[in-house]
Amino acid sequence: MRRWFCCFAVGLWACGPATQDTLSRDAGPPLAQDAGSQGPIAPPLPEVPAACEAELQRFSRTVHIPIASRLCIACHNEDGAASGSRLQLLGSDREGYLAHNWQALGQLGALRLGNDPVLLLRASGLHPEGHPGGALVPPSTPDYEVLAGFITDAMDPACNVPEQTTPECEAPPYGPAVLRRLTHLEYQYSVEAALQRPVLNEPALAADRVVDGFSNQADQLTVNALLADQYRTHAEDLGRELSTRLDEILPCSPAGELQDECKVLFIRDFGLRAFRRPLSSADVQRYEQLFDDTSQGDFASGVQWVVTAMLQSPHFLYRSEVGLADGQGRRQLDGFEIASQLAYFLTASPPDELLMEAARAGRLIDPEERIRQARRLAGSRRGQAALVRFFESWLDLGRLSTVPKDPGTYAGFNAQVRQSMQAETARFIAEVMWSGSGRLPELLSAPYSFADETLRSYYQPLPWQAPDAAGWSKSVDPSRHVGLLSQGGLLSVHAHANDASPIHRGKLVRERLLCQPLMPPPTGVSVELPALDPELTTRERYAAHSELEPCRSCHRLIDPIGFGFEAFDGAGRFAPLHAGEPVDASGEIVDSLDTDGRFEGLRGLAELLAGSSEVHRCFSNRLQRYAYGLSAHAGLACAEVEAYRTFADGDLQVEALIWSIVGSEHLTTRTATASEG
Amino acid sequence: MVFYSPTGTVHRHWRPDSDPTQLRFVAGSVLEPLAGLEEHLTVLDGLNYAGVASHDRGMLHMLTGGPDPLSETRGASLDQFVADHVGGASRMASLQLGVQTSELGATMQSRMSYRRAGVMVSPNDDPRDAHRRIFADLGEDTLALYAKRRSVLDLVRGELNSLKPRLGTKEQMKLDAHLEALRASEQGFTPLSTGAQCGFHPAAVTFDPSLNDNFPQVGRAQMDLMVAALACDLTRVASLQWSYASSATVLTHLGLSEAYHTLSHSDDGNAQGVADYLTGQRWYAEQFAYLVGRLRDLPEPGASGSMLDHSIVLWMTELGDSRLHECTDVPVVIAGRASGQLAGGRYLRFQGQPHNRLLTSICRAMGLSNLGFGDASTGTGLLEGLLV
Repeated sequence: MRRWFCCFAVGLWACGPATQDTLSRDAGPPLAQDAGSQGPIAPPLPEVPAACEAELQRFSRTVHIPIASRLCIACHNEDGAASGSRLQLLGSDREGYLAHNWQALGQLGALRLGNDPVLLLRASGLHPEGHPGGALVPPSTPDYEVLAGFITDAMDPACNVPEQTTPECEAPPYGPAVLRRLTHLEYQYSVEAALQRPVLNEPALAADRVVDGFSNQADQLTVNALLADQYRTHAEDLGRELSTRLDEILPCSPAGELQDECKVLFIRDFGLRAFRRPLSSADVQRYEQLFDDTSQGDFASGVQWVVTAMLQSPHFLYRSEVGLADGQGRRQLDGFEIASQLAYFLTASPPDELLMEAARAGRLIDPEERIRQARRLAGSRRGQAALVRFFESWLDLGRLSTVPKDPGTYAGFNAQVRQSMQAETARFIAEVMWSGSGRLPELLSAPYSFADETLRSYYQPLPWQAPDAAGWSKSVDPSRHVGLLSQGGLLSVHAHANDASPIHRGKLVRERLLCQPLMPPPTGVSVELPALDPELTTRERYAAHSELEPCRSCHRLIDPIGFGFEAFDGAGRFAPLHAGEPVDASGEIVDSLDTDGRFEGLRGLAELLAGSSEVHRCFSNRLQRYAYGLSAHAGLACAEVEAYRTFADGDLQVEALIWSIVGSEHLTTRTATASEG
Repeated sequence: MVFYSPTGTVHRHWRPDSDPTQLRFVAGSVLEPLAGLEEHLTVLDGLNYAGVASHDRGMLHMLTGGPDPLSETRGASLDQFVADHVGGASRMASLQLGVQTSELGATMQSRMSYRRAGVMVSPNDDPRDAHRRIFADLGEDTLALYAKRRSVLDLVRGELNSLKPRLGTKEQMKLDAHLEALRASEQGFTPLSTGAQCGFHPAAVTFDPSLNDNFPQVGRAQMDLMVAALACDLTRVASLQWSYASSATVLTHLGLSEAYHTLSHSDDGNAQGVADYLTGQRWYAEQFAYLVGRLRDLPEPGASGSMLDHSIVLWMTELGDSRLHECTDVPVVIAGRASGQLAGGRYLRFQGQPHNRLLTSICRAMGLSNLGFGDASTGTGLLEGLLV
């Protein structure tokens, strides 16, 4: 029996057995063996010299915290699912863990199969015995490069670690040329802009892939068969409808001899709005031809089918960020491509008239002009809504409208409350952004929030101030209100249907605020949640889970953070007492880069997070990925460093970060494809 | 036809009476709601999704047998692979319907159909939209309409192709996928000649299909649409996916208050949790029985017997034991006799054979000749003893 359990991977997956030759399911958790073996008789592991303290510290920062502690230790520890394997690691609460883990990983790095380190072969799944665990660390991803670098270091721990901790970036601060299919919301706004009227019946559109909460990632946005058909029927509906209202859509009168002229005018006019750029003469010709083929003398019919086609055209459905090669390894985007980036990032809509004018005049190549335009767009109603949507994606709040809640447990949590909670978060963000400091720390820890009439009654008595004109009352109370973290919507989404959940909440903080993705529980381990018991607090029920193996090795990263939410129930209400006694909402962050520490209550947690450069950097990366629609693997490491620096230098103002993104070189320049040199 | 329900099962409560030749369900068990249909059913036990575990890996392997792009089936799922061979003349090569599958978007956990390795197929979660697509163009002058649609498609295709030379490989692949999608859409430009006559035109629904409490109604509407599409020969291959792997659905209509996935982890010590989970499991069995019953009651056009007699309805799930996140001993039920190729009334146990053989056998029953399905290293060939 050979099993390989483990744990180098990104994203969601679990450890698993390589073969199925054993294990009746009643036999309990399986044991793993031979993590680094190459055959029936495992060769001895090579010696690796001991590392010095400076080298260990670097190992901790670059390999141990970001990779090993999250992805490996869960299985590869003495009580874990892979306790029988040759990769044995110690948790960071054990004495001498760094030196031990350096050795353990270094030995597998020194062990070769052919020319390749077994550690890399296993991690990437390229080992002949495979790695059945799931999404791996493929060659050329950042994590893979880190592991490869570690192996070189482990061979030669000369302790000549450079003093400088943030190496200068040498890669260009811009990414690849891409076509970005419109998100479903961008599609809706783009249709409305082309038609110059609202679309009342939202079409059904097949769900897109969501990465880290974001549904706008360019490499995930494709057109599959169902979506193509949905685009088609919607375009046909709109074309048909529009052809009955020619006077509204035509820029000219198609009477008599003017018909041909009007046809071209219409194609240019509608095309400009649909394609977000002026049409070329080849474009016009193509659509003239279609007009003639489909109209058969009926002008309205020609209009109908031109509209139908333009709304299915790749020039409409995709945002072009492609540009032209400049012969020096770069592509330069044109003004209209830049305008679309600004407009969709900041408003989810196509460029407006002023932006198109700036594009036409070639002014958007200038970062200052882009920032001027961005200020205007961000301040608009749609701009403010778009920023709120970023926060909703980042913290997974979009599911609030559908997340199931048990009415027996949470009386009063109805559709109206869900809507009001969503509005509360938007209201809170608006307050911080437009009336408050606009800084990330205030978003994370502000001692106030808002309630409309529905929420005032749902949340029960709080020192609500008199409502403003829109019906919102403010309440200030530093233990009840803790920025985004105590928002009713966030607390309701990150909980069970009938229970609060320290796991959901700890995971949210770990993955979305610290940018440390976790993996699901290892296979073969029973993962039943503690039963509901009115006698016990949530923390008491979950205690075993965070204290006993095999759960502990991962849940020590999660639950002690989640316990900070102990005073809030699973549906957004404040519940600081249990059976008349104050609940214990103390907790701890461990195994982070620079956020470790004990804290008291949600406020204590929020203050740790708000002051952490790790959280600031995580936020800056997420906002940039959202803006660019590109993942961590798109060669943007240097652009991310640049954005973070501007953010930190800008006193952690969210707007400073936005202007930095808008002014960045990525908006105007891309790397050329290989054939272009 | 594929019927998917989430989270595996608890074997003790799922297994039929042990006699292999006389299928009998145990009182109170998950499969008991299928009683009365035994002669049409084959229950399969002891199949493994070889080498994988966990919700998302199980989901990925369930219908693909492993996403190996170099394999005979290139990482396509069973429904897509079969549809490429038998779906050519129908309006839809295949039909994918879902019941609230997309709360988390399209993820490995929420998709089971693949065109090929890495290319997901989306189920339609909205019975209103599905209804419209299945019965489209009823009463239209389709000849003229389709000519215009084709002019549009030709233009769009030309644009997609002319964009490609300026792009890198990755972006070109995106446009190739788009072109492939347009071909599938174009297959729908087939007049609804039989549809108008075959007597099935389920009423369009009016409720919100995304709300948890409407889960059973959405499922019923989708099953009725699926049966109608098959009965009218608008498609030969269909799938129905209930929720997604780690299902957060709360089956409130059964009086349950916890997410299905949470219940699926109830240990044996938690009697109420297990009982609640079984309530949900049995409800899915009732849904399967409803679908199978509808097919049994419809005559097969142009042949003797019922539609069920000439079909295969495959009930799959992504895990074996729901508590342990393992993909061993995955529970499988097949309904239908595939025009006499399945005997029915049997309970077969396979002692840990890879389910790739099940997928290959189903292809064989559908008239295909592939030697394996998915990752060949986990096992090729047929599942001995399944087909008559």
